[in-house]
Formats: sequence, structure tokens, C-alpha cells
Amino acid sequence: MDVSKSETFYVQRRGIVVRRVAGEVLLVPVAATAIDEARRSAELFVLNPTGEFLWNELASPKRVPDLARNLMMTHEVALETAFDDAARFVDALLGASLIQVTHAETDASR
Amino acid sequence: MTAIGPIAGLVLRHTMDAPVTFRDLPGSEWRARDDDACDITVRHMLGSTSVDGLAPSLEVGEHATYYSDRDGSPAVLLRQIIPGVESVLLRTVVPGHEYEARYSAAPTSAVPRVVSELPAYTLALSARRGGVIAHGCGFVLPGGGLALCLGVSGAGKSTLGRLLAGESGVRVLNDDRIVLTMQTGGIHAWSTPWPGRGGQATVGDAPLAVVALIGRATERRVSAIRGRPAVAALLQTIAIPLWEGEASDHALELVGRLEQDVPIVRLEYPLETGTGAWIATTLRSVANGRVEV
Repeated sequence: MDVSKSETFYVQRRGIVVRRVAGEVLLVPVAATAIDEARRSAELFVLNPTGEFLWNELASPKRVPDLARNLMMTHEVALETAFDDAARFVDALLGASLIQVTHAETDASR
Repeated sequence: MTAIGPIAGLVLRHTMDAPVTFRDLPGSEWRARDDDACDITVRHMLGSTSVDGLAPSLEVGEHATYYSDRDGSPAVLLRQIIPGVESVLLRTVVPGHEYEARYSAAPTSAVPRVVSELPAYTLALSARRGGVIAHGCGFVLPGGGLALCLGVSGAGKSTLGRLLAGESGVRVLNDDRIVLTMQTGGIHAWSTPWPGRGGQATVGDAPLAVVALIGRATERRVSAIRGRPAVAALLQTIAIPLWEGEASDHALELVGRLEQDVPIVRLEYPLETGTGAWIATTLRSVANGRVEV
């Protein structure tokens, strides 16, 4: 799936919690709290500051261009770089079932 | 009836209500006496391995799926890991204490003990908030303290165990799995009765003195590793009980404390004469804070 060219909206899956370990931010798929039927992943993600920002953005539905624009505005990076970072992040988290495609478009511009 | 341990202080006992025999019972070193107090019981029986009424929670590889029962206790369905047996369902009876292993059919030959024993022990350890199991080769350094060499499958843990076996002052405890527990004075490391391909699983324990992430290279290299890369590497080789929130928090707290309190290095080396001695000497120096890396 080419997430960068998609107009698809993405959002955090439920059942994923954020934990800090030795100052680092982790996404922990505590599956006992997950209620969807998707295949659960045993993979833990350690986020860098950019990843932490993007993860928080995905609390509400966003498209890759939305993420890139918000990243560019808050982190003072070029749009091309922001777009690449956002696309790679979404691709990785989608592969690990930490985010999901959603059809909801509410709040996308926040 | 077979009692194993203690494993990090816990005796595990198998009771057989099914025609199951183990093909790899440990030597006397790991055999607890039948009249020793028992901490964890695994009852083996034939029966339904249906997961009706259980909620799926986590898939680990191709052969294991974790579930939660109505009380939130974990169960594990193990598929196609014993010849002639489609599945084994390991269920919690009393969290931290009693488990039952239901076989869909009678095994046609003796089964590896580790198949049911390791998952049952893992569930009990996490239910007790007792510690975590690390995928690593652990050995006692000359002068004391344990060096834990972590690596994913195929990284060379068993080969390392063999390299170190003949080194003066070194005592290899286990070439594949080490239990880590949090104690008042720091993190403590314990051998387990589950060896890797090298077959090394000796009773013993020691304070954790140094952690190495091992890998092959054309020349010997040692470098310190901290922060995000260290945490990421630790999480690849330390089993976090993701099937239960509080238990995973406890395990992550241990990982965080390890990262903060114990020196961690990346250790790369070729397999050549003298490598075992270099590894032992280097890790001893790192543990003692005598090497700038």
C-alpha cells in the first residue's frame, strides 16, 4: 500500500498504550485491552521525538498530507522531508497493526 | 510426577493425567525432590482444545496464540509443535500457581518438556510479577557477576556458550534463557533448565553485571550503547508479557532499570582463536568500569 499517495485517513488502534522506559517513549500493544479482530502484533515500537509527535497526531483521523503539514509547521522541517517522515511512519505502524484505516474525516484538519 | 527447579526460586511440578512422557528430563541438578514445596503446577490431560469463550489477545509467531478467559487470565493455544498432536491448550487454573495443559490427542512419542513447561512458567512468572525471561547466553565472570549476552535466534548464543566453556574462571550458566528479577540491590540473573542448541543449562545465579548485544564481524569491536537503541535492542530479546497490562508494566519497569543501572555494550567478533578469552576479559572490564567504550 502506497500510503504517501493515498487520500486514506489513519487513526490509532485501540488497545495500544504509551509507556516511558528509561526516558524513551514506547508503543505497547497490550492486547488484553484490544477489542478489534485484527491480528495482534507482539512488536513494540520505540519512538523518537518525531514519532511521538506523529503518534499523538493520530489520536484523531489524519491523512499523510495532514501529518506532513502539521509536522512541518511544528518542527521547522521542509515539506518534502516531513512528507517522507510521515509516510514512512504510517507505513511502519500500519504494518505492525498499531494504526488502522478509518473512513472518519472528522477533526482531520486539526 | 516430575518436579523441576527451583527456577529463580520457583519449583514447577508436572502431574500427568494423560499418556505424556518427556524425552528430555533434566539431570539431578535441576530435579527438585517430590516432597519439596511446589510453587507452580502443570497438569497434563487429554481434552478439548477449543477456544470457544476465550478472547484472542496476541499472536506470537506461527505456533502460539494468547487468549484471555472471562476472568482476564491468560491461556495459550500451541499449534503443531508436537508430532501427532494438532494443538495443546494451556489454561490458567490459579494465576501464578496452577495451569493445565490439554492435548487434543495423545502424543505418539515423548515430547520436549520445554513445550509446556516454558509457557506455563512464563505465565506464572508474569502473574507473580516475578521477573522476565531474556533470550541470552549468561555466564559468571571471573571474580563474580553475570554477563548476559543477548541475541535473537541465530545470533550465535550457543556458539558463544561453547567458546566460553573452556575459559579459565568463566562459568556458563545457560546458553539461551536467563530469568531477570528486580531485587533491592539491583537486577539479579538466574539460569533456567531450558538450554539452547549448545545444551548448556547449569544451576546458578548472580547479580547482573553487564549486558552485551552480540553479533558477528570480521574484527573485534566493543561499543557502549544507551538510550533509544539500547531500549529497542533489549525489547527484541526480553519477553514482555503483552497479554496483560500490569504484568507488561512491571516487565517494562525492569527493562528501564536495566538500561539505567547496568552497562550495555554492542559486542562484535569473528569466530577465531582467542575470541572466548577476549569476550570474557572485555566484559569483565566493562562490568568493573575499567573500559572506556
